[in-house]
Amino acid sequence: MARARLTPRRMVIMLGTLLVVLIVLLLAACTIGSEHIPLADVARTVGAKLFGSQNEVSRENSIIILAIRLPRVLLAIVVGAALSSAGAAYQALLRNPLADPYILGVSTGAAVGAITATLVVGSSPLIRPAAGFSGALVTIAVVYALGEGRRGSISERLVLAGVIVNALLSSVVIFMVTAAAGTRQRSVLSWLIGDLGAEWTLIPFVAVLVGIGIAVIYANARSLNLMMTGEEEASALGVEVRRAKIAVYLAASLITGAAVAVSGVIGFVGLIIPHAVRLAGGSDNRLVIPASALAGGAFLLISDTVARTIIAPRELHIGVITAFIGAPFFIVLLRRTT
Amino acid sequence: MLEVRNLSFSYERPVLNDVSFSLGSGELLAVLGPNGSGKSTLLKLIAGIETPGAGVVSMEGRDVSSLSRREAARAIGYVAQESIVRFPLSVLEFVLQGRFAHGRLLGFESEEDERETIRALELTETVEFAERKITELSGGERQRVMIARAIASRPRLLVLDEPVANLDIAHQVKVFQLVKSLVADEAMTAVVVTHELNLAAEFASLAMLLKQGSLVAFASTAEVMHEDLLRSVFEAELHVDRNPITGAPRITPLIQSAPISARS
Amino acid sequence: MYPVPRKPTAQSSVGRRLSSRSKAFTLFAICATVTLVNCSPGLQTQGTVTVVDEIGRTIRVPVHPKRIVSLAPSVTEMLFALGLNDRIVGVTSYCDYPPEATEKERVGDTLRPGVERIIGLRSDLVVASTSSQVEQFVYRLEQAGVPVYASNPRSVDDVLESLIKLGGITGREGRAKELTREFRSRLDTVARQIDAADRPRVLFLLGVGPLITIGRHTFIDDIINRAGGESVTKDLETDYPQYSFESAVASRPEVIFLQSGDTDLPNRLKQTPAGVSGRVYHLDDALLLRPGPRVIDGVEKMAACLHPQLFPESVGNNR
Repeated sequence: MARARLTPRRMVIMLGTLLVVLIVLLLAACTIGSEHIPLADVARTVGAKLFGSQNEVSRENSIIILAIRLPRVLLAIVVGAALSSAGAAYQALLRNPLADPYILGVSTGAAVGAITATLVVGSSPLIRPAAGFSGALVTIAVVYALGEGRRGSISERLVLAGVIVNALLSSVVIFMVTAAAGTRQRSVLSWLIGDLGAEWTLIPFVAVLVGIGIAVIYANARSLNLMMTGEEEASALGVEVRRAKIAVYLAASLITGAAVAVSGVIGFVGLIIPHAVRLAGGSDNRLVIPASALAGGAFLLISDTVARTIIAPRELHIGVITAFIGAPFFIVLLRRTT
Repeated sequence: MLEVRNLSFSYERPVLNDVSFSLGSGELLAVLGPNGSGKSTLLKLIAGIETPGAGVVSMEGRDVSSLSRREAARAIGYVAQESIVRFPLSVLEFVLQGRFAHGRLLGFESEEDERETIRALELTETVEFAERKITELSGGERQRVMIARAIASRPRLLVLDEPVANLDIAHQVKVFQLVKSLVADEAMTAVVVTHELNLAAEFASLAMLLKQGSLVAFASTAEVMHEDLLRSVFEAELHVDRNPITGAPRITPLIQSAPISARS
Repeated sequence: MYPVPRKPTAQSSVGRRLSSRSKAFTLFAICATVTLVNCSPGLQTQGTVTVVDEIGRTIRVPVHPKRIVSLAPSVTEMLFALGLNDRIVGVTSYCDYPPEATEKERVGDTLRPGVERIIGLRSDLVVASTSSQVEQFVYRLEQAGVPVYASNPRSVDDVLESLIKLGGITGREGRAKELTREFRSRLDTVARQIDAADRPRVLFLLGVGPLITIGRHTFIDDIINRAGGESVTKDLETDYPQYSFESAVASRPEVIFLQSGDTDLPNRLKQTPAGVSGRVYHLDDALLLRPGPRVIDGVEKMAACLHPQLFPESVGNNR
């Protein structure tokens, strides 16, 4: 009966493995880039910053490590974790293995906010994410209000509301993109398919928000397990369905909104990582949620490293890489599950 | 053990209207009636999934709507009509979920949980499926697994909504036999909504007739399965006699076929 | 109509064969054709000449075009510099220099010019620029019989040659020669002054979120060279690539140019030599991004930024 259910032992093994992989990738990503910097130098620079010790590393390399590469690498992990666990949460909540974190329109709302800011003020590093997050918040509230109702299942109404809002906002986004001229348009388009070059000062906020969000989702993991089989059945088995639904919906939407606000709409991560995790470890959300977070962070880290090294010193958009890897992988997944 | 007093409920229009009855332990109650008479809603109210518009459902003296979901879940098992699961859960995982109300929110299942789950599988004769995916089971197998999940927490009351709706005759009988044995051997009380009048007649000790949300009859099966009563409730030409072998009431629809006029 | 009296000539047999009604109709047809020919654009009674434009297309343009439409701000500036004020009938909505240009009829923006409007203006020559990407509209205009001359300036020299050629097809050769003489003289002056000086490393950014810079074959790269600088991205083959912050920092730029629309230098670039010394400039986009006559001003202004000690009296604004 070992494989049939989740045991603490299996969970520790899987999460432990993922964590180790993530750390190794993190160290590798710090050394790789358009400028190759040996790991020892990275360590020295970080050590000098943290402990005030001597730093013999060249000035440029120090700047690159502390101001450019490290923030970017950390952001990739945080955003990857956010999108993947939000995707896993939505899939369980909506009882739809094909849901992704953008299905309820949060990302499009964030896009409207961010693009408006870009058109008005240019690509300001703090205003754009703030505007994006505000857009996300408004969309979350509107979709929730529209999806409320006594009758009908939670998931159906939410999805319906989300699809409508998404369609409406998408047309707004397209209009705004075509209205933008010249390099503003380029900046907008670039953000729309993902841009991990956010300001360093934002990263702690996003990290904390995402951490809290994932924790809330995890706290409801067992409830989600039951809700995956039906809301009434879950309620009959003792789940406070309404409370769990609100908590998970809010948490997943907020971390998606934060991720999108700070790095644009990176596709595929939230859809395929939970799938891959379920294939490897089963559908129990007590494993799927944290494993998706770790695997998502690793995946985005790899994608970002590829995006910034493959045509160095130029950069590819990360959305291109995730789609390139994600689409074939998804096809493989579909063939294996059906 | 179960007492329903003046229970009323409506969605946009009234579904249940002033229903009252009481049920002792060790009984198997069949809830019968035409479509739309409020049977499913009654079950949900008993299980505590919905809250009454008016009236009270009390289980062993306590108002069900005042209980927390977990307390209610420990006492009452609910088997829904149909469950569409799109995720490849194993049967073991699925039935283990029935122990949710006994565990901590953030914990793992205990050894007791695992024991009770296996016991539930044994009682429903589904142990052999334990490691298979629930999505791979047939209708009859899945129904028994759902019952297993509902009884894993050792509820005193078991509530089933059309448990044999999509099953073949052999599996229909099997499921009813299972419920009957649970009532007899495990000291449970069962409330079963079904359209299978004959199976209800064979297995249920008590029967209830609902029509358009109102309680029309509540008595022993023999008394309720009365031809005039059934005809008026179902508005169908039904004939009731005795099953010659089992002695239980036997209900047969009388079909008046119109003569086919010959074409000349 | 009564019969026209016959003349005793050899044509009288033809006249006899044509009835009076068909004569009237023929007369009417001839008059109509003459009128139509005079009214349709492009078919001038004055005659046309074949030229090759700057992307190698062979086109027929009128000898003295009188109704010229410009599809780029740089072209507008060139046409005005050549003194063609009275002969310009349409410009784009972005054409803002010289001030007289703003009084001209608008035919749309540089991305989507209004083809119907251009035809309605009865233009006899349209001048477009490859920097504006209007290929698809060129086809439609030519279908309508409006010749389109494409200017393709990839360097400062190209701009001067473009001036000469445009002067040639509009009958303003003299003015064109005069202008290019003056421009060359100014460019030579700058070249002499910066000749012996070191060339500072220049990072030119068209965008900061993400970083967009300029490649080797761009127009701006040429300006930087002439102004006495060296673009850190001079080896990139792509014209306007997205650049990584790491490479930007590693290249240790001594001077950074930002677009006038962008506010501040990104935090991550503040530790570069340029960021530390404050040599971050916003130059007027119109001077540097328009391959027109004011590019000479652009070269001079940039030279002043790069070598302030050599050009003390003119200094661009910096942050």
